[in-house]
Formats: sequence, C-alpha cells, structure tokens
Amino acid sequence: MPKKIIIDTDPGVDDTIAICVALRSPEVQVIGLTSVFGNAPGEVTAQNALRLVELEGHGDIPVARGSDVPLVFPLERLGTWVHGEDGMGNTHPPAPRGKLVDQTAAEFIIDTVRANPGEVILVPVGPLTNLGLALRLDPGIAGLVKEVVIMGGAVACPGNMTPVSEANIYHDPHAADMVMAAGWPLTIVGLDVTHKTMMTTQFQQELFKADNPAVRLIEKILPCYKNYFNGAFGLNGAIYTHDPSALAYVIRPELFETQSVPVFVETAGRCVGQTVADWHHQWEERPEVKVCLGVDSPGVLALIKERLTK
Amino acid sequence: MATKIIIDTDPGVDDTIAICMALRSPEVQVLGLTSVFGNVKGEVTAQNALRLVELEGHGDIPVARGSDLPLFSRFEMDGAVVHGEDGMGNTHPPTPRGKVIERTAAQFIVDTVRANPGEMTLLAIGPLTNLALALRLDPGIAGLVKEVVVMGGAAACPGNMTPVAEANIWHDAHAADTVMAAGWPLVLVGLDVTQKTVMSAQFRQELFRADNAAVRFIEKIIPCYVQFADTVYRMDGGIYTHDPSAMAYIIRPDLFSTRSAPVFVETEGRCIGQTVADWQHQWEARPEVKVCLDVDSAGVLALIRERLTR
Repeated sequence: MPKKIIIDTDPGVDDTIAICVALRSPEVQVIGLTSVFGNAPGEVTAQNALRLVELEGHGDIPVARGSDVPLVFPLERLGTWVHGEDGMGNTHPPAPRGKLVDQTAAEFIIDTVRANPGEVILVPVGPLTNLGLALRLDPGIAGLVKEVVIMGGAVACPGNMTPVSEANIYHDPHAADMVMAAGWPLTIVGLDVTHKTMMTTQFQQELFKADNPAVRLIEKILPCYKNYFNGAFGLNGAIYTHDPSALAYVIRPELFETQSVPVFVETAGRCVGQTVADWHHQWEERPEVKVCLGVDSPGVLALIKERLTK
Repeated sequence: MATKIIIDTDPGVDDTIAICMALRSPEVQVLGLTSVFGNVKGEVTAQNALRLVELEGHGDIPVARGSDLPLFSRFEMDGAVVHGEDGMGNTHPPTPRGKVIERTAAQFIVDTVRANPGEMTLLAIGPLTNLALALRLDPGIAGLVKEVVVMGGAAACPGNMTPVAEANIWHDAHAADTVMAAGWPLVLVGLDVTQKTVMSAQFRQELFRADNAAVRFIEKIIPCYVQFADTVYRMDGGIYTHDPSAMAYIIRPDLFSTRSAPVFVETEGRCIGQTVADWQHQWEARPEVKVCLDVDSAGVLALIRERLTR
C-alpha cells in the first residue's frame, strides 16, 4: 500500500523537484497539494502547485490554497530572489488549466486526515503556517496523522536566513513552534542533512540526459536557483538538496540518522526562527521529535536521479 | 615583561583556581581584582576576592567591588547551587583582613587602563557587567587595552544555563553584547573548549599531593562543585575547566585554536544569553572577535598542575 501524503508547499524550484519525485514514486500516493506563501507570494505558489500536478498528467490531484501571510508577524522578504519572481526561475510558464479546490489548505488538511485516520503523512516543505492553522482549527488531528515530515530548521549547524535560522522556519516561527509542540510523530529534515547532499553540475547533467516533462521543466527553471547558490555560497553550480531530501525521507527513511529531542522555535529577538534542540531537557517539557543529523547522501541522490529519469 | 592583568571575577570555586594560577605565574602581574555578582551575590564575591589575594600573601593587590546586578535584566538566579551559598563550597572561611578600595570596579578598570595604555589584559571570568559599565564610563578604553580574555559563551556547542546560553553571558546578556561589539581585541574562551578539558578525580588527587595554601584551599572548597557536576552531568568525579582555561589562554595562547567571527549576544526571547558567531556575515557588520574552538586539553591540565603544585 503506498503511503498517503499531502505535500504542503511553496513552489519554488526545489519544491518542484520534490513534487516531481513524489508523483513518480510508487511508494507514495499524493492525495493533495496545499500551497503557502514563502518562496514566492501565496497567489503565485498556488498557481505553481496547479502547474506541477498537471505537468505529467496528475490534474486530478486536488490543490488547496493556503495562507498568504505568517500567523503573527507581518509578511517580510519572500524567497523570490532565490526562486524567481514567479517561483519558477523567472521562466513564466503558461497558466494552469485546473482550479483550486473550494477549501483552504488548513481545512483540506483536516478533512483529509479525518477521512483517513492514522494514514496520512503531511510533508510540509514551506513555512508551517497551514499546519499551525490546521492544529488550531482541529487539535484532534495531531493524534490522527501517521507522520509529519518537515523540510526546515537547523539544529546543529548554522542557518541560511540568519546565522541561526533556516528560511522555512524563519518565515513563520510562531507556526513552526506550534508544529514542534503538537505532540504528533514529527521528523525534521533540516540543513543538518540537506546541506550535506549536493546536486553537483555533473549530477544535473546526468539528470538532464533523460527526456520527460519533469526533467525538462527542472532544467529550465534551475539556472536562477543555481545563480543564487553560486553568489551566496560559492557552490560552483552545485545546489543543496532541501525539499527533495524530505521526500527522500518519506520514501526511504533508512537513508537518514535521527535523534529524538524536544525542539523549540525562538519567536523573539535576533535569533527568531532558530530551532533549538533541548538535548539536556533544560527547558519546560515538550514531546520529542526526530531530528535528522546524518544522511547517506549518495543514496538520496541516487533515489532522486532514479525517480526523475525512469 | 610580565603581562599586566586585571581579573574581573565572581569567586566562585573555578574562579579560585584561576586566580591562584594567576598569582603563581611569573608571566602575569595581577594589578587588581574586580568583583561582580554571578556565582553568588555581589557582597559575597567581593569578600571572596579579598580572601583570595590574601591566601598566599598578596594582600597588597587592590580589590574593587563591582556590580551587584545585571545592567538591564533582573538578577534571577545565582550559582549558589554550584559554588555554595558562600561561593566557597559552603566552607565559610574567616573574614578577610583587608578592605575593598574606595572605587567601583568599572572606575578601577578605566583608571588602570588609562594609566597603562596598551598594556592591560582584562581577564573576565564572571558576568560582563563591570566591563560594559567601564565601556560606558569611558568608551576610549576599548582602544587602550592590550586584550580582553572572556570565559563565557558557547559558539558551536549547547549552553549550560539553557540549551543555548552559557552562565556568565546569560547572567548579563546586555553587558555581554556591549563587550562583544566594543571593537577591542577580544578572545572568547567558552564551553566549546572548557568542556573539552576535564579535571578528573585522579587529576585532583595528584594536585592535592602538593602542600601549599592554594592547593589546601582548593581541596577544601571543591567537593560542592564536584557534587554538582556529578548530579547534573554525571561526570564521575570530573569537573569542567571553565575559568582556569581562560587563565591558561593568557599564559599559553598556543594551546588553543581560534577562529575569528563577529559575535552577537541574544538579549530577548528564550534564547537570551546565546552567543551567536556570525560566521557568514549574515547580520550587520561588527568587529570580529576570536572564538576558541579547540584546545590542547592535556597541555592546559599540565599547566594548571604545574602552577598549583610548584
């Protein structure tokens, strides 16, 4: 039986790779996408989510539009300087044919979890606003999801948005802290592992030898994203493997080493958005979550290549 | 020429070891002690500072009493559980003969730096309140000290007061941030190195074979400190080498590996007191300080033993 997943996403270049991997993997059944602001504005990521289900003939998968703004803070800088103004590397793809479902992302998550108790895996690869809202609308879902796998955070390494915070968490720290505190079975796939797995230019070239709509779209939208990594990190054309790592965890968790610990998100001060693992239980009690600290990077890369080229 | 130092201190069991080392080291000349709240209350640390200069006949060294309170935040919790109510492991040593001088610690620091331009090393092994006050009284001293060596912070490892904050910095985060920003030549000797150097039960047994006033005093006051380390860290009779490591840095900087980075101290939120090294210059510009990241622990322990036993 494939795992039923909802991908909560702000596509986004690496979101695109992750979603294509998911839609091409027999181990998972994507029962919906929910969109959120983040890499680009909310209206843009919703349209991109529609584009991505349609790319290889999955237009039947529902897409629900989520929040345009964080729970508490005003909307600050989006990720458009990384992902392009259109979240698609400034390639401005044609309008999608389909429409969004007539539900908010948070409602869609609640209804789908309630309709499939104990079966749904939530895979948020953007800011955690929709999950925070869903938990407030219906706290009972915490006991009904099978798992929550987050791309986000930086537990034992520096951040990418600030010296201490990763972008997805930074974009909505209050929502992220609610998600960490909810007591559901949660795994954090953060910079501790995503920065260890590099898609080099050679990897990209081998990928692009395949010929299918997924690979052609990724090839088209990737240059803008690579430019950013070259400028900010001096990566020589390589890119970090953020969102696809979270999908790889859903498909093959054995590729990752995890440790369990309570995690808190800073919501004030200059460390806002920091994910703090309380290894020695110095702060108040909170349910533990799994934090990915090690990864079989060649294994993750091989999985991504295999799924995108087959 | 011996290095002229002022030790700003909240004695304190490990402060005692550091001060005894300093007074027994020909490489340094202790021009004064300045006391501060921290391990215990301000009135207690001032008396202990007097006791420590008198212990082996240095009653001529001036002791100036400093702040009883942090600059801005409340004094929430002292370290009496670690160091004893008297800061001396609950051994209640006799009243010192001498008196504190008629100047505040901050003024004494300013005057001494002005009188010895380019020559003074400030060794700060307690909360940084007095140094921040001195900078506020006379910002010009930043350009006149030779070096500032701080025992405090945790740049790339968890904290000991909270998951992210080391105790000395946590006790006065605002003062610490002032000290990090001042642009003087500063070295952080933090948990990144002090927790790598453990004074084991065996090390102490060897130390206590010597017979001098310093060793007898340390032997007497240390059980309370050892018991805390056993209870909280389960260290099997070992104790971390906090303040003496900073003293060791002054005598033998070659025992430490450092990396330069701007360091910021969080002054708000649950991460208050965290020392954030901005390795990739993501925050506003700030002068770099040296952060100790590795240490020749055997070398530090040998130095401590040699100084205390000879």
